[in-house]
Amino acid sequence: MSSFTSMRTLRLPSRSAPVTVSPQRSPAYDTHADPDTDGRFLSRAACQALATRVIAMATGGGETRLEINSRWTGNVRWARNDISTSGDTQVSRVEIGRSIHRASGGAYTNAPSDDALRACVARAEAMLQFQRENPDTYPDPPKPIHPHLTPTLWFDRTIELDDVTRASIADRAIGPAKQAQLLAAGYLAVGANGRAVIHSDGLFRYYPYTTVQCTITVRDPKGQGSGWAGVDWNDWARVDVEHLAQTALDKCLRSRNPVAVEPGRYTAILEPQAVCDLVFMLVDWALARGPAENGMGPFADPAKPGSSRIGQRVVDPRITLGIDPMDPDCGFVPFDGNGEPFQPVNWIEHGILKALSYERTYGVQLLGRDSALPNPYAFRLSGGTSTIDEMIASTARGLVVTRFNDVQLLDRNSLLCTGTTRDGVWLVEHGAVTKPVKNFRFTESPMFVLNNVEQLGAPQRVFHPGSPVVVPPLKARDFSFTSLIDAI
Amino acid sequence: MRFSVMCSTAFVSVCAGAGLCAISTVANAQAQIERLGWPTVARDSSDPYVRYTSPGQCEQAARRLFDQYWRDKRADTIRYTPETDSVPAPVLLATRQCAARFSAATVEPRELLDLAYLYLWTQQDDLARAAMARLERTNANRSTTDRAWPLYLYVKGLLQARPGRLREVRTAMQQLDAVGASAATWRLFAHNLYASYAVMINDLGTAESEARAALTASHQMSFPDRVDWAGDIQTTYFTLTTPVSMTRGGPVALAVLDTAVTDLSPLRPAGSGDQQEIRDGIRRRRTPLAALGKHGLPPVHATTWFGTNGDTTRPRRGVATLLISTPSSCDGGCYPMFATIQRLHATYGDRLDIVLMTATRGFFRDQLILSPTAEADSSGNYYTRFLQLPVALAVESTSFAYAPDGRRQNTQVVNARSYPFDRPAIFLDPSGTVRWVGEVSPYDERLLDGVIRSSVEYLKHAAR
Repeated sequence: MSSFTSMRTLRLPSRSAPVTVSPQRSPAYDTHADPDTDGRFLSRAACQALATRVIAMATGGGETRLEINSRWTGNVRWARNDISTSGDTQVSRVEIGRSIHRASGGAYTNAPSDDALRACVARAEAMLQFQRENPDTYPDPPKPIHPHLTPTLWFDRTIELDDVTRASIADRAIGPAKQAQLLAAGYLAVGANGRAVIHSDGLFRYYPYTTVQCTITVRDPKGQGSGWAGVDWNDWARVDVEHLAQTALDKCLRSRNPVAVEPGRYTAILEPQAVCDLVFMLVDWALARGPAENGMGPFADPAKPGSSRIGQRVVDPRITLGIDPMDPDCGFVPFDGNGEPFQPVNWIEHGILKALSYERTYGVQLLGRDSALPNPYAFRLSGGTSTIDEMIASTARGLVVTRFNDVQLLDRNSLLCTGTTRDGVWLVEHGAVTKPVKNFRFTESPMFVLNNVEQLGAPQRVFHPGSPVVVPPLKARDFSFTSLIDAI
Repeated sequence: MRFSVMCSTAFVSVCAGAGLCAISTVANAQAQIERLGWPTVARDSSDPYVRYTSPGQCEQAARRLFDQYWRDKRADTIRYTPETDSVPAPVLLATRQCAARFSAATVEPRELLDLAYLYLWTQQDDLARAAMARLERTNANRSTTDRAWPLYLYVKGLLQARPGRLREVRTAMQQLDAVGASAATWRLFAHNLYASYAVMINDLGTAESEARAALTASHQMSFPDRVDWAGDIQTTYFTLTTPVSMTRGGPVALAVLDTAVTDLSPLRPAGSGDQQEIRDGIRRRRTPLAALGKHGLPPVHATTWFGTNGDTTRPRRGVATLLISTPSSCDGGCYPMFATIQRLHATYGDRLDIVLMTATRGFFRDQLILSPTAEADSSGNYYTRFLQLPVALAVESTSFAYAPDGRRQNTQVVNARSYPFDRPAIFLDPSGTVRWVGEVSPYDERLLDGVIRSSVEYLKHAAR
């Protein structure tokens, strides 16, 4: 283990003055030691050394920006009740951006050799040549570097899961399905990551974190039923493989021999994974302030061109949608690719749109704030305490949906999406689940769903690797299932 | 690289105005080509232009080389003077090497227009004419419309050439006009282009006659064509207002716009948004024209002045004044304007008072600034110390309100209310009369220079 604490001066050739790069470390984070990378991914010191090399390779002055995502993963994959692959991967993706006189270009590589990095810098500088340099060399003051939050995202026990242990976990995941004479498939991967954002103007951010993801699918050998369960966390201890295996098995058993029911508008009881699959389209496409003020998306105010709907009620008043890097169930690396720190924010609070993301330039020029409000694409949606059983019990006729697949955006303004149900849909009649039904294609907008909520459950972590999501099950009326599909 | 830039700049300043750079500088040019990393004459048997298989590719390469040649030059080292500008020797040499692969007698007919363009780059006008002559022969059996289209494109190439080939343009234009109504659309385009070019070189007589010729052509177009090209017809009217307003005053130019409304409105459905858009565009154009001849504008208002030596009364009595509205900072996009300001100052010195008017915005470039005083200082440092512009800088403090969604809302400052001419610059003659409203840029520089000159000369004459 090593840490980087000293100031270093990096000299750039020709057109620019020497550049000082200093690691910006949050005081809170400094109370902890960096984890032992064990050579699996790039440590803080290794990222710093790599940045020093890259910055020295730059020609023509200007600024150099690096974003380093270094990762080790150990995985095991199984199918048809048997382990099919097991492996370790190591990759460090180094994105290099060069800016000279406000013209910029970028390139990336996953090879850390001097030759590869030099070629990558040259490519970035070649890309820069496609832009016109601004000859105005008026010196800008350095941008402020705000401290970031320090969520706990590193868990030794996650990366202690070696290949033998992973194989035994796969066996445990396969066991229930095998015993029921069904077929299990799945994937378990643990990872150790180092994420760094380093700029030649002095910004230095580094954050190590672990990840684990586990998904299990159980299918009927005759292709008549399918069940699925999955989750991802930073901490292996939060993953209950037996529960996942049992859930997938149970869904498979209950989804066998589905019957066809007419497509149409149904009251839909969406399990948390289905809510994630649908609401992510809102988080992904609609939470930017600039487009909304330019008339794009559901949060543009049609009555007031040039304005967003901030301050207006946009969804059911029970709903709150927000982020907090420190959320123990939904924490994430606390800065974005530009090094901008993520802050806790409620995008939607009790149904009212409270905030939309923006870049620092927008903040400076239009809000009088010297910071950005970036969107991490992680989110927590909350607002109720109902259980799925309660939702079923209060439904005269409806459908229970496990999850959605292949969700695509059809219309950016209304967020109308299409996709298919998957791994278990059941008909609810007179307060009880009566039969499994065939899958549907749906055509629906998360905005419509979130405005037609009848009941909301307690939020829980779902499977969404890369940006954690905590969402509840929910019951919404008039969900549009538009056609039947044959896939199970 | 820096060395080559400096060499090149110096070299062009020698060649500029000559039209054709002397080929005696081949050795120098060859060295510059090599420094820029362009294809060079082969020292062995291989052909560096082997992958250029058509004249169009060579012509595109010439454009690219030309852009590349200038891309690192500061904007204030060049001034596009279309009637005398030349092709830099390295570009000329490289393009000639490429062009040597082709001839008008052998290329496919579809390549002839590109070949003519290429020969304009290589300053081989006779060869360009030969290529166009063969194209004309090849097209002899085609419709008049089909024959007119390449002729218009040739006119376009001649106007965009360095230098512009005005004699050739006039010849080609006569040919085009001779085609008559069936080529009306192409005639509209060609005359419109030439009119804009004439405005740029301050040839107001030609600008007016060409714009009127374009409008004549537009009236020979079919109704569907007029509908399709209404935007170009509108542009022609706008171009026409410039020479008319400069030679006969704002009211006559406003009458031109009245005609434009009558002429263009029927080209869009009555009462439609499209029709309103046309009318709005013309109405916006009226504002600066209506300002011409106005007298006694209110004094420039400022919270802080820079570059005035204590005398903060603007416009100054008896001094020609150029008032330019500008942001509190302006990036490279303003460099052409800065270069024009420097040249105007070099020409007129104290006889022309140049005033930049700006207002605080709460930020300076990409930096949040909370104090108006600090922002005014930043603007002053930028314009008068860093850029060393020979101007008086008037900075007004803007007061802000905040919308419910948190956005800062600027109140309109005094100067914006006092000079609502929709264009960023106003020229006042020494008597304080508005003589010109427009944009300060190299494109309009010749025109503006003409207006200033006539005002200053008039003053000199009156003093005598």
